[in-house]
Amino acid sequence: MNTQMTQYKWFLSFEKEEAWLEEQSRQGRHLIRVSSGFKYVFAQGQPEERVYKIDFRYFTRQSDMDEYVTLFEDSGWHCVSPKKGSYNYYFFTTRKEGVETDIFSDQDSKAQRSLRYAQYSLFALIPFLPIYMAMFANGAIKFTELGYLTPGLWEMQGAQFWRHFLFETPFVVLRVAGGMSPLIIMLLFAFFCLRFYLNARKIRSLQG
Amino acid sequence: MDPNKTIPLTEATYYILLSLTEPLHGYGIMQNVKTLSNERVNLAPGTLYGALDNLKKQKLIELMADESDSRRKVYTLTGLGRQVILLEFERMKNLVAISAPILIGDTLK
Repeated sequence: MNTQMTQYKWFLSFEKEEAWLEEQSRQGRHLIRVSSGFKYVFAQGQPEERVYKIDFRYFTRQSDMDEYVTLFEDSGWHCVSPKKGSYNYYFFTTRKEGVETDIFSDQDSKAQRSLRYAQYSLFALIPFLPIYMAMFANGAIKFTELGYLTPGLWEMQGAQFWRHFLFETPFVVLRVAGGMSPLIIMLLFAFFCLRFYLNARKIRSLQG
Repeated sequence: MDPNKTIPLTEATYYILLSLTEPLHGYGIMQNVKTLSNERVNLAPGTLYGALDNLKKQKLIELMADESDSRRKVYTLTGLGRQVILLEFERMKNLVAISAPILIGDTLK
């Protein structure tokens, strides 16, 4: 019987993601696809010692992606359900005892992978800037109106205060979340960008 | 682009350009580099793909028009690429000629 299982996970490091996939295969769970970057679908099978490597690339032309995947397959790597328009490409091969296996043969090209990710995060951040500024400009977000709006709330006492305070709290949370979400997304992308940029610098510094 | 600005080349880039004096596809380049270097230089596919991408952007190599197998595109040197590898060859030959009497007390011809 062929059973599938799904796991949701988000990684901030290629190396950790690769190690996790290798551990899954050791348990007999082999990756068959990744959707949206965080939904991992596995097929249950025999435990295997695999090496997983992830590359970060974007292809606009199908023939470019076909050429890319074929080059890896010719060199003994299988690609897990390649799809044009995805960014992460998952490759695996059987682990050979005592042999270091990688899809990169120098530190520079390995650092380039992290730089491509950092660059992508930066580009993903840019469209949010005008949206956020426009929301401010047309008054959709006003910092003065994000908090509690009940007139005289802070002068109220005891039960009356708590009743109004608790009644309004869900609305405040919604307003803050709505007004802040573009900012939070931007900060998140900025964080990804910085993290992968620093990772690339670290890999480069290991160059002998 | 000034070919002088692209040298010196890395060893991997030199081997790739050297291989492309004849038309080859990606995996063909990988095998050829391995043979030429006596199995010392093993280009991994991610590294080779990135290098080919860069060389294409620098216009040192180009795709052959014939696309009989689109999954294995065939590359060849451009005129600029040929100029670059010849410049690098001359540069290294010069280095060897200068170094030989100093390091091994012999003049190479």
